[in-house]
Amino acid sequence: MLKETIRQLASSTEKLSMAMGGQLQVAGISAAEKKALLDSLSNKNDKNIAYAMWG
Amino acid sequence: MNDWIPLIGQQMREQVSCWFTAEPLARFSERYIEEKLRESVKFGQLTVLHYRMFGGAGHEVYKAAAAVELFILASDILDDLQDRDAPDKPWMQAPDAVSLHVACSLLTLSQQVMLNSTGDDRIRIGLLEMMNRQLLQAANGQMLDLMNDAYDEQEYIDTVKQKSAALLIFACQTGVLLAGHPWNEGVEEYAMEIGIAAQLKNDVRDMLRWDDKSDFLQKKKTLITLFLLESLAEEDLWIKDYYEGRLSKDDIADKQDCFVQACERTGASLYGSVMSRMHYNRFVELLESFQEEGPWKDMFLHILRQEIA
Repeated sequence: MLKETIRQLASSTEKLSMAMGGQLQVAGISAAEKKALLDSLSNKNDKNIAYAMWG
Repeated sequence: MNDWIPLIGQQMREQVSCWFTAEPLARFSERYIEEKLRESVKFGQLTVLHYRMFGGAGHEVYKAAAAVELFILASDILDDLQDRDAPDKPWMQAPDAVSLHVACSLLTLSQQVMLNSTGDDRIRIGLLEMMNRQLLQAANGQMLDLMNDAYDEQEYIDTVKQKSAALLIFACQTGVLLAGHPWNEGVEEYAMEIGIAAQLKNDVRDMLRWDDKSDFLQKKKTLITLFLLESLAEEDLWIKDYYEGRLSKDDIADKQDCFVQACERTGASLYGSVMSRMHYNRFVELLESFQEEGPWKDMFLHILRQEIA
């Protein structure tokens, strides 16, 4: 379901904006997946989240 | 914590000076170590961090951390020789035979330094046994990665666990064992998660570049390329054609913008970020429950956030 959710969000600017604003209800994904999705959307431009181990 | 990197670097240089009596071997090794120290010493720092976290107080840890970093350096050299995607590195500018020999020598040196990092025979044996076990796991993973034959997402994650996470676990558990403790499953678990997270983050970056390190141009099978290939719209089927050999690199040379748009449109980039973030969040959760008090979580995150040159 996560893959399908992401595909739907990616194909719709409106849904993506709503998701980034925390306004979209996403069903069928786990709490961990939802948190990761919202974190990724809100940190899209955050260059401080860095945890690369390799160059 | 500020002096960990110079102390690890000092030990790396000293051990080369001590054991590499052939002048050219020492010279090339020193040059390669300087490059490594300029880039990143995260694995060695994690060794020191876990040593301190588990109550270790001595300076022996810097030798063990140097052993870890000497192995990582050898691994980096071999990886670049295999992938041929880092032409600016000093080991890629020397003859292949030289760099291959230096890497092999550094592998042995790392074991010797690890042996000499403690006078306690029980700990010494435990360290070497753990080191070899983890490094053999990494070798298996690297082989699978070289074959580039991941069939599905789970196969790819299993490869990453062996190839990448095993090295992080090695670095962390070195500190644990050197401090006199047995293998720690909690450390193994969170090190596994951050190892996977870091590799997936690298994969997102390497997906979107358009040079020798591009996973797409190299037709690498990663979590993200697998997602992309199963999500293509009609207009993006050229991507599948390229992967399956019906188009050459020259045929798609001017399609970088189209490719980036396809990654956005299919959600491939977002999927990679979300999957990486899931493992990172799990890592933070495990670390917080493992060490509720003390400065360790912040120090760990500080090490991870250090930029790789």
